[in-house]
Amino acid sequence: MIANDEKKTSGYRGLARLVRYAKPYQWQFLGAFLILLLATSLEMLAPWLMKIILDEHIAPGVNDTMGLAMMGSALFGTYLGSAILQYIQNVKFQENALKVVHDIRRMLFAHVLRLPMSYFDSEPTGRLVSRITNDSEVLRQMFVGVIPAILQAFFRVVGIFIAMALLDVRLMFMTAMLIPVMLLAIHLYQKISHPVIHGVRSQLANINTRVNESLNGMRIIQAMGQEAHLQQQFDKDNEEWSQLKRKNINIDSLLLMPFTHLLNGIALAVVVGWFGYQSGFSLVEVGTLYAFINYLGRFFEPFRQITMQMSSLQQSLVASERLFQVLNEETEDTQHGQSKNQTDSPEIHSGKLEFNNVTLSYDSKNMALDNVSFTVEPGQFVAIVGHSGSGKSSVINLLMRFYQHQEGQILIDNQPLTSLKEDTLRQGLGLVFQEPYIFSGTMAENISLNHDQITDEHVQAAARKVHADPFIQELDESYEHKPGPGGKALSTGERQLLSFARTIAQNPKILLLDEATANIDGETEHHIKEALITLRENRTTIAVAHRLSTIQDADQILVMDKGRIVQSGTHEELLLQEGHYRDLYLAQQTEEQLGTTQQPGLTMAAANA
Amino acid sequence: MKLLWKLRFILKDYWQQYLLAFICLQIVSALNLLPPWLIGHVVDGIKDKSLTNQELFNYVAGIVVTGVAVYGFRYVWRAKLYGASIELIRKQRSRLFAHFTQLSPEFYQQHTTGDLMAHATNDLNAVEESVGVGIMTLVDSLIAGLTVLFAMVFLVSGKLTLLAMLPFPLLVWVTKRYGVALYSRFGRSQAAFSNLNEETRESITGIRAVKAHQLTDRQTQRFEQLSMEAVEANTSVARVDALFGPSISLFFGLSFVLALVGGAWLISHGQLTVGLLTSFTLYLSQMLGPMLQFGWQFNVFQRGSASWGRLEKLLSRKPKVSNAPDAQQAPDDTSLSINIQSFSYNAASDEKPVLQGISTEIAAGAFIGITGRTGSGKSTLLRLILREFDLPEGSFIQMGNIPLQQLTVESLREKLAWVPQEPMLFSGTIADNIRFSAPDASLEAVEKAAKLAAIDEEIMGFKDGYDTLLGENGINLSGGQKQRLALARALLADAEILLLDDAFSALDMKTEARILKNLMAMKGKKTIILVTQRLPELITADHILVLDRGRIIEQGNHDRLMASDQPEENTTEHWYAKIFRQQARTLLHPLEVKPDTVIKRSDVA
Repeated sequence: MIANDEKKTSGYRGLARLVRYAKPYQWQFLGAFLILLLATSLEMLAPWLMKIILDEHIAPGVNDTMGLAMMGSALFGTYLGSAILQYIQNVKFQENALKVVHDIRRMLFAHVLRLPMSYFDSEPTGRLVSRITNDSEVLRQMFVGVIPAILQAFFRVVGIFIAMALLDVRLMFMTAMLIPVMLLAIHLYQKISHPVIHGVRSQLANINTRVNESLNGMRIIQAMGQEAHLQQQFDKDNEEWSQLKRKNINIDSLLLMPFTHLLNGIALAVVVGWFGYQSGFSLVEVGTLYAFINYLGRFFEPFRQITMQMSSLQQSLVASERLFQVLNEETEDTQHGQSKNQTDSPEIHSGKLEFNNVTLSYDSKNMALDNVSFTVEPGQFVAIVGHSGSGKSSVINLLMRFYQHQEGQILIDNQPLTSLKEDTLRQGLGLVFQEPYIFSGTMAENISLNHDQITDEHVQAAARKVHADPFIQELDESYEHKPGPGGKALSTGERQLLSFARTIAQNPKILLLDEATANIDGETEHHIKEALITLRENRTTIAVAHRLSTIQDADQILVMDKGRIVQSGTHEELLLQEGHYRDLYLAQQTEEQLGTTQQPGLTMAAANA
Repeated sequence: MKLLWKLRFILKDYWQQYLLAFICLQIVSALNLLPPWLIGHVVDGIKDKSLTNQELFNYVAGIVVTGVAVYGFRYVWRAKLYGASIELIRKQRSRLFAHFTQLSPEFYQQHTTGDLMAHATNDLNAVEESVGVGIMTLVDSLIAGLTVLFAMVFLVSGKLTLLAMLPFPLLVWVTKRYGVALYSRFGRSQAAFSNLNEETRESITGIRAVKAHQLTDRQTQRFEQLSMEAVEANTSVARVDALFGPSISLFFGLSFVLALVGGAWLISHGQLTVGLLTSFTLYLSQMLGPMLQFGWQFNVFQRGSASWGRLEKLLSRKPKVSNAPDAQQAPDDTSLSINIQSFSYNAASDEKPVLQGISTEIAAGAFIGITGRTGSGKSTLLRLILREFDLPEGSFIQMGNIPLQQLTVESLREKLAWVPQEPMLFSGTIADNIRFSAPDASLEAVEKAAKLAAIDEEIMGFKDGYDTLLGENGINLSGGQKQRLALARALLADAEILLLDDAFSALDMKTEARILKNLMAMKGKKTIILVTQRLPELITADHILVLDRGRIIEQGNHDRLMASDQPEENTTEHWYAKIFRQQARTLLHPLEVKPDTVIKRSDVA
């Protein structure tokens, strides 16, 4: 119970924080509120005008045609005015709500991109994307649905009561007694229906999980002849769902629409009875009765609206809570303890690298790097090899400052890595991925990456250097070609060449190759090998490699195992020694025979088998 | 409407419920005519000062009783109508699931789980909405609309009704126009949203590249631009969407004004009383609901119809593999005889066969090894034994001299226990997963199977032991643990033939040896067909098939395959001997086992 309350208050605190984002648009919202108020007032005026028409123009018999026409026009005028104002009000709310959502989204997106790498390890992509787009979309409902509905309901109820008081104070008080009844019904409904609605949802989720799982495991289900058994389980869940759902419908029928209609009917009877009784000994105007009935009919509408918005409110609260959870995550800058206006940041000139007794653990249990030390002189080509999980990629992760090491020191040009500015670091280090990432945008943009200092000439020169120019020229619109999401229309080799051009254009002092040649097929292999040599010119290069054939000309090969460097030397030196490197080399030859390394042509068959 | 015709076969089971609901709807509509009529009488009574207390009491009581009765009937029709739609959808969902379990693997190769899930969720929801809310609004707007119209014409005045109804065709026309405008704008807004989604997904999946290439600002700018576009598209939707409400109230207002003015004229000519005019305006407001609903239900039916079309197509798919009319039980003799001329997954296309010229005999109780490069057709051979696919003319697999096609699928698969390459587990407890093939198996049997699969100690190490709950596809287990659970599951099935498809790839040498030893103890009692790329597993096999590109390139037992001459480089000849030597050197190295001790290890096994 206490936990529940806490959750509620934190939800409402999130709500308060949410409303703060509307602050830049406060005058706009205020304007919309005023228009809403005006529209509601006009709406409330209509029954009153009808009363006048009935009492003064119709009941006594029409003798003033002009007056009737005037009053008719006035009545239509209130409808027209109210309709126009309602429209303006609605559009205003929408427009400003969209702006608020846009602001929240933009801030959230920028924030997420600045979160440390470790955050992305634990958070599935789909969920993060959903936070940024879907959850913020849910918030819109808050600004266009929930808030206006509550305000309008409030305005309406107040307006109705004022009008009723003017018509008959005693009846107004009688009607007021309906409010606690309505609130009680809403409360009762919430209380009774909540577990049922929740049950329906979770049962449906169960069913869907079961279907999903069964579809994935259908081969094993069929191979083991368990179709009937699973069908039985499924039917049980399905039956439970239908029972809960039926209960849900019954509760809705008892307490929602039909119930308000019932109350309306009873209230109607009271009003009619009262006026009829009054008419026995005093003058009662039929217009008053009519207006009262009309107001009474409108009285229930706000409650229905609020009940409808309740689930939107709940969803908004949940969404805002999730959003703020992401926003409360610490960004990289704050983690590295860097201030943005650091002035005396060193530059990367020669490209010397040094690891001194570096220790890294991602989860503070298992060591990813264990006391690793090595030095790379400017211009040297160093390769790191080892089984997957041996820690070879961790070296790159640390250099790119994707993660923070726990012990030891990393120096670039004899400066500690932490003293380098973000820009300097990522400008000075050029990272080439195993799976080159192609961004949406043109080919040229994918090379320049929209960095201002890289002109079109630079782009084309870079592409020519790595032999990417010929294939780009052949595309429609050549450099202005848009490769589409993920660059799927390009071959793996072409994508890799593109990323090489990107790196050349960036002109980093230090080149980091992260398994950059692992997935290369035959056709472009030759180009890629040549391009790699061009890339390495005048740069310090660190290559994390799976295929040993690509690193045989390295100045130094570091062999890693379980986070430690276990061997180092050139290819020839290492082959002569008993040990890890030779084992890896032999194992790789076997793998090639077994076809487990990727080979074009075979992959298709493997996918089918 | 067309949908209802299409759905008539599944709807007809519920016709009583629907009919009852419709009758109740009609009663509700008729009863709803009463209060305005009574109020009209009261108004006239007040105006003429002729209202007696008895009359007043009757009128008031009439209103209350009507209210209560309407409440009751409303409850009944909702319960009946929605109840029928729930029941209908429950049945269809169950039917769809049953259909899924019947379709052969060939179907699952063509459809992703995501697509099928969309059918099972979105499409069923759309149909549910059609047969529930859709039918309700259609019938309600027709019944209630016509009933009220009837009352207006016959209880009050036909002329006045005609006058008051004048704005309605205009309203219908206007809202239709809005609908068209909204549709195209809505499409744009959805496209903008999906662009935004795509951009976000791209930045997050490529977060390493974004950080490495300092693209934070570029991506944020692009995001902002797309988000702005989404704002604009949504605003343009809002501008049209916001027209509906005000337009409806405006036209209704017009209708009221016409009714009042026209009513006044009729009253002054003695053709109407004030009370009847009051009743009339109250009826007019009862028309609002049906008018609104009538336009809305078209969308619902359109969506439902498209969804039902997709579901029907799905449900009409016939499984490729099914029991022949004269199918018989699998024989006790479980020897297999395989003769495959040629097999490919897609017979129509002229792609290269996955298997060709495979001919071999597998005696009951034998230990058969199948090896070869990736993609050489090893798994396909197991799939054919499982009869996931039927063989073309001229090729056959026989069990005890009866072709598999002549056996019932169930009885065949009862003879087989298959451990797939990718272990597939289900949410539930570990024990449930192991006893998957025999839900009634005792805990002792479960434990015994786990012991044989060398996983019992690890299971006991979990806090809840055999009752440990597994996440979806055993997400909380390591690859090796999953493989061994899948093995335990197959062992519990206690089938005559064990099909192991690269089932130990995630295990270390020691565990693998333990399992192999346990399996060897069953030799002679169970046929074991083991697909593997770790050749040392096959040392004790009775017969080994080496496949390459769908053909058998070598066969024989280990000694015979090793006895060949020194292999030449870069040919597929003596593939087995060459790979075995390489693996003996590299795979066994971590255990510090020298090649000459390999034989010893396998002797133990």
